[in-house]
Amino acid sequence: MKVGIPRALLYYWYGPAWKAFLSAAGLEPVVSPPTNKAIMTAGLKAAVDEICLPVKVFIGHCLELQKNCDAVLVPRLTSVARKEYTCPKFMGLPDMIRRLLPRTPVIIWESAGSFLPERIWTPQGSGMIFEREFLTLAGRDEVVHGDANGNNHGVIRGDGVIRRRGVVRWSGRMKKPLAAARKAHAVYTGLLRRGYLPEEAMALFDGQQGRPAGLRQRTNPQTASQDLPDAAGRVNPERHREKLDRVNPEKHGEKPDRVDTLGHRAKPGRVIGLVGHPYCLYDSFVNTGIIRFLQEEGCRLLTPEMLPEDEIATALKGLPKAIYWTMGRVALGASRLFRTHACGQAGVDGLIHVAAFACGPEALIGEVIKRECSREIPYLQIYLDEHTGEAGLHTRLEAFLDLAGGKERAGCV
Amino acid sequence: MTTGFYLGVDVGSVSTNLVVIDEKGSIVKKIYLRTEGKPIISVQKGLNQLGQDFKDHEILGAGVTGSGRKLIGKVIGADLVKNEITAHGVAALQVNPGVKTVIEIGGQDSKIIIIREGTVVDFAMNTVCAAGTGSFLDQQAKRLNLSLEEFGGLALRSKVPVRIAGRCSVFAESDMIHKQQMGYKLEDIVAGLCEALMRNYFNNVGKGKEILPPVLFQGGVAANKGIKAAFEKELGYEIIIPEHYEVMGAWDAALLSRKFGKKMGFRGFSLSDREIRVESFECPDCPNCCEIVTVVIDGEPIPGWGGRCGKWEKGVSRAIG
Repeated sequence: MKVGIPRALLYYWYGPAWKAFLSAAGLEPVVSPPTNKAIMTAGLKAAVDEICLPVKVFIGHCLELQKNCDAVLVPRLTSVARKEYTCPKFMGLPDMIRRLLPRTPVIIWESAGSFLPERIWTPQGSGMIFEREFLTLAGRDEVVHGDANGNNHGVIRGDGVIRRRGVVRWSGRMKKPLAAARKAHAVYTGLLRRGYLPEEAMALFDGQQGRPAGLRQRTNPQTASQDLPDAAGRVNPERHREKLDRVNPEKHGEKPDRVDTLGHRAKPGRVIGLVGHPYCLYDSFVNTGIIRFLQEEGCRLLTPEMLPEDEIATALKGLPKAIYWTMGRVALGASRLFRTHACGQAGVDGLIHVAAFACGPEALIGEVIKRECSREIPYLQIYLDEHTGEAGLHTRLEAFLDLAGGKERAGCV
Repeated sequence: MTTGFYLGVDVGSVSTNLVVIDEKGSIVKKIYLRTEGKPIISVQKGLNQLGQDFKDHEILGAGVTGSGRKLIGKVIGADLVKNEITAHGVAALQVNPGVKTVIEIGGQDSKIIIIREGTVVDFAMNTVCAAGTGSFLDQQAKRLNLSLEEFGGLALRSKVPVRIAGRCSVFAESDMIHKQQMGYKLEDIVAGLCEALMRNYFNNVGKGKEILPPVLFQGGVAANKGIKAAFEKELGYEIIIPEHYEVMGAWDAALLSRKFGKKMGFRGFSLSDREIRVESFECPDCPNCCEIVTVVIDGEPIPGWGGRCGKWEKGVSRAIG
């Protein structure tokens, strides 16, 4: 049975875990293609007007997946860390999707306090076929439809599986897929910490050689496989350090011989910190290729996903009030680290904050980051909406890079 | 003795400006044209006018800036294509080396550029919305049947500007009409509009920036005396409008091409006599359906752009009928 995974929203954090989970449960995960115009247009058409662009794009991916999948996995990630929340729109996501996909069952991955599911279930009426198959495959449980009174939504009894009103609680038999998800997540985040961008890390994780254009800059296929953990799950600490050093060009004697638009020799590898929600940073269609643009300009990029969680937590000590939006907290913590020191750098040359136009939490966090950056390092805020014209974005990025290039570059005649 | 000159072109949403500078960097000739949605034709017009004076002189370099820079850069064969934010900062420094703040309001953009010790240290630009820029003033002046000069003069005569909602130009327009029908004097309404635009600028673009004198005000809107007055009233000191305020971007492009250009690409003033067609089509090769634009000069296509994969830029040409 094919289960679709939308390549959108927190896929860039948890995609490998979802894939591993479904595979270990005996299902076939299918990831939607990278966002394209057709997907975005479908999402814009189907979605309510008020939600943000990334959610509309998510809807587009679900509509794309329903064409050739038996079910679609939709996360309800209310919270992925204790006393923190993701976004109110994430809570309503499965409900929006199941109204839009009348014929395809929606599998809801529901989390509270951790990204791992508290429960996985399918809403009444849409998920019967899936449920029977899924339970059978996963736990070989006896599945009985209908209760003693003949109600359709009755209790299903199995070996430790209790179902009440459509809710399936995990039995001991689900330990295997859950463990697979946990392990995949650890390996994947390990790769991110070592400086791979999500597309690179996932390609590496899947053992593919072909990587998407524009994202291959820092991955060397000959040595990349050494970054994967060995059979016992250990990573090579030497490789870890080396990989991050690659972000730091001086140590490798790289001197890109580039001349920028003002005729200056580009400073070898300007380092730019990018912060923002993962789906704003890594969906190159939604952000009209910010990462590609910066890489082509010869910049080294640092993103929040490259930072260990404990460093972010330390960086945020002393805030008058804890930030309870996970992604906002990560963005602010990362911006603080990027300003001072991170990944072997003594601070980035400039910081770019990418946010979706209608995002409430980001409007606040963005302001905090901006105030902290002002007078220290160049800061640029980019709001994403339905524009596909790159000109406006590139104008701002070009001017920003002139600014981040230092005194000799910015204002000379 | 033949001296060399440098050409600068600024292709904005509302105006297309061309300047020719000499080797010292001063403006020898400037041309200000309306873009009217046809950037190539207005550039051709400008080149035609310049060609009459500079046909026999050598153009040593050409620079392009403005929102249409990519297109026009390809068409005229520019040596240098620069974003308009950096451009305006550099030109302002040429005028006044001590400048600390540049306010630039053009057709679709408004910008603030913060300069300290001769270096651009910060900038901001209006977000996706063009409320409070030149286009809006243009539209309102037309609606009231006023030229922009009359518009500015009228605003200066006002003693009690009325309060007009400035956040959104659609709101502002309905507010203005309402105030008109209530019987407020036209000059007070016009002055109110200038203040609304100024408030919008400080709230949106100038938000949180440290604005210090000397302040340079440039871009097409600087011609409007009412806006200048509104800014001065708010800041409490005089702001400077440079002599060539309307062509600062083009001037800068010329200055930069003088300094950094490779000095070889310019196709010459005769470009104005050639047939330039723009072809656009949707690339059918993947679901992104990129809108590809190619320019055909006298039947000879130059590499297209607009694609996300980059193959059209590399010169893959399509049979164009």
